[in-house]
Amino acid sequence: MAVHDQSYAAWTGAYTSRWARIRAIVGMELVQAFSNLWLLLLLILAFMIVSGWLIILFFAATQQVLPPFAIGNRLYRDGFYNLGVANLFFFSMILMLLAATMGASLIARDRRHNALVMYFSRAITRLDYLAGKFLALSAFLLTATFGPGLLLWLVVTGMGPERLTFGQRLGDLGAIALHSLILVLPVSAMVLAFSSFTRRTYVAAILWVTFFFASWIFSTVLQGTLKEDWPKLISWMSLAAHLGDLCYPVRGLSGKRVLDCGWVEPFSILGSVTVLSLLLVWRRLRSVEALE
Amino acid sequence: MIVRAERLNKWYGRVIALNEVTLSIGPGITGLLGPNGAGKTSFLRIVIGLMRESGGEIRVLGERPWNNPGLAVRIGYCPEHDGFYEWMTGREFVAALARIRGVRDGRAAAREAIEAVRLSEVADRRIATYSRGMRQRLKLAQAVAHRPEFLVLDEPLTGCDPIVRQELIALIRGLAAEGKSVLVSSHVLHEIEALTRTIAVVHRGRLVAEGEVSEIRALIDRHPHTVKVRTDRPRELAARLASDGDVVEIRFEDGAVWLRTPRPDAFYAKLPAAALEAGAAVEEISSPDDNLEAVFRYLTEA
Amino acid sequence: MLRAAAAFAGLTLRSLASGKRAPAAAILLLLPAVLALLAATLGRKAEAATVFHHVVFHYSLGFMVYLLSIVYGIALSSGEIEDGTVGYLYLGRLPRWLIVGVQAGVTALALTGLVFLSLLLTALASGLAPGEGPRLWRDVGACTLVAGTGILVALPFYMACGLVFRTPIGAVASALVPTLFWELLVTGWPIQFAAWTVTNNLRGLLLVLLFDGRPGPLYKYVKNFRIPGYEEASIYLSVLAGLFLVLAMAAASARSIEGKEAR
Repeated sequence: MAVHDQSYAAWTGAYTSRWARIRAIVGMELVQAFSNLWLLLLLILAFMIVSGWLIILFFAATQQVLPPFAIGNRLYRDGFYNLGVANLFFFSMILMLLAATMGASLIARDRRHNALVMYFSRAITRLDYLAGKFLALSAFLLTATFGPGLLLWLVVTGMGPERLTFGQRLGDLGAIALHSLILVLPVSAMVLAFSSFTRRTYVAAILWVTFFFASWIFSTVLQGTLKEDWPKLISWMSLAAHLGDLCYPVRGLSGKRVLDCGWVEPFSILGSVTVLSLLLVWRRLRSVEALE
Repeated sequence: MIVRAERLNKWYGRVIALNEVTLSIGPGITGLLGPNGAGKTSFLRIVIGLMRESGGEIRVLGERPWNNPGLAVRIGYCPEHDGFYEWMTGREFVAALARIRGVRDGRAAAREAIEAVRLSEVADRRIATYSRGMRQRLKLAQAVAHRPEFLVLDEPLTGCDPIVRQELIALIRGLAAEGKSVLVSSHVLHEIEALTRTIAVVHRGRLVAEGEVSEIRALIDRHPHTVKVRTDRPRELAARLASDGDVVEIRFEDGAVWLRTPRPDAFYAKLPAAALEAGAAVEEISSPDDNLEAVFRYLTEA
Repeated sequence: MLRAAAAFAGLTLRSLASGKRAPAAAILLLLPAVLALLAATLGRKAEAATVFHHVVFHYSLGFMVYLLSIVYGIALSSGEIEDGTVGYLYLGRLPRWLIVGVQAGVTALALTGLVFLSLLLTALASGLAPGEGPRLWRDVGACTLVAGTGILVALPFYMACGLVFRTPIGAVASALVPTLFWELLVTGWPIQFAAWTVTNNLRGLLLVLLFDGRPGPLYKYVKNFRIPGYEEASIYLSVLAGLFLVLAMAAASARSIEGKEAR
């Protein structure tokens, strides 16, 4: 009978960098996301809003009409990212659905299939795993936020009625990028936190949806009963919309702001929620045995 | 006949799981043998009425199984994959399912079934705490609690340790001795051999053979075998073995010789003497053909 | 068959409290009481009855009913299939359509009972605010009736989503998209279609049962359409509930349980 040498032999090959491993996790998640029909349909919906504006601007340009919503940078703010009624923002809801569909499964699925042990038995730290999942979700959501925003910016550049300087156009583009990040990063952190709570993707999705709408409803009800303004700060949608609104340089008619405050309060709330969510996920990942 | 399938087809999109399968299964224990992905589970799910066939016809105990609750209670099914209400105890689980199947006294039926599968000691523990072997036995318990006529067991021995395996084999044979008909699937030939002599072999969705196990075993021995012998003197050993016509092909690699023989029994009988004559120290003998996959290849190529 | 149905009803009731869906449901059910408590204690201008009406109008009927129904609708259908337990149920004495019927009936009743408790807590919390509080049993009873009607409509729809779509997350997406866009957005739009949303029909029932037919400031959003009357809303919701239940039953009867080998 053949007896083979069982003594340990150290690995002599080369490891890739940590960044390469994180990139591998990001790539794996993005490939799955972009092959999901539901997600692609929602992405198309986000881009269709921009297509609508394309048609409207085209007609306005041909008729030499100056639409008020296209003056300044209101088209990006009130016409796209903050388009809505009664502080219920249409684009935020699309983003919420995308996050629920793609993000809810990121950690829940790994828990369900006992994959965490497989990940952490390799040269992948918990931080690499968390960074990979967070970046994957953020990258995907940025496709849905910055992508249409960039397209809208190009449309306005080509067909908008205003004559702007190069610096002003670049300023608008920078504001769109910043607005997208404000919309995406806190959502990514929160959804990952919900995903780490459960093995069932749909429960994580429902928890996130509940949080999203409960914050809006709480805000609406408290405003209606207390007859005060501070409950507006409870609404997740309003906080992100207001903070995003503040990114844009003011030109001409600025329109009505979402909240009657500066940037400090919304930034503090969203920032602390983001950090706390990531810390919570980090704590849960530290004890894989307890999770399993 | 317990099961009569006539030109049965099942596809999932573009993947054909079952392809014109015509098969009759009689009373007693019948083994359904095939490698992973052969279509065994798809066939079993159609037999019990969980899945609808894409084409062809199937009758189980004389009736169509799809959407037939009257037939479903005459069948006991032990699925391959685990699916439990993990928050229940084993006893509660079996009793609840027995009652859903119309058993008057669910608790008594559960007690009997749990005793039969030797799970009494842990029956009052939550299923979430059960080991692999306990879960297999629990699945078997829920399958027999309502005293069905016909048992369908999908890979019941997978993942079990040797002791549990022996116990389950004895249990299944006991159930058949009570008069139940059993259809059991596996991808391991010797597991099926331990249970029954009557088997049907499926491969890539097709029925490739049916009959007695001994006939399948003879096929393994009849078809040409490739044998690898690791030795310090491969050429000398090969020269001795090639001399009397039992070897039709020889190939050398570093420290080993590959031989192909149409008569594996005779070859193995001659190998020790040939090694002695050649003065060759034999370190290892292996054959990639002494397994089910080789049988399937042989059957499908034939 | 009756015995098997009763046993199955018992199993369904027990499984309602299992897993992570129970804490999720508990959060949904306790939130209105928390909201009412906050409104009652934080403001000087809040009136007890107003607090209760606002919470019920916006949260309990406009949101909680749907989310509760989604949690359990998906769990009962897609969740059972993913867990592998549906095979045991479909191999029982009950036909598939009856399984769906029992699940929907038992779950709707149980959820309505829990909603009653939630509304009771909400009313008690609202009572901490100054002014006249809600008429406890009458108002809570009326709101429970309306919420129960909403659950009877929504639950079978989500069960149907779970039985039609292959995976739970696909089922959730297919359930959420029409709910959010139709029930949440269209409900508040000044268009004729708004009269056809389940939410506005439930608010039509509420208008008679809770507000004695007098639309107050909560109904100010109604523009270019008419809130359906009691009879209209009852008929419309009954038809919808029946339609969705039949859809769920048909979906269950046609659903092939293909298992992991089919993925």
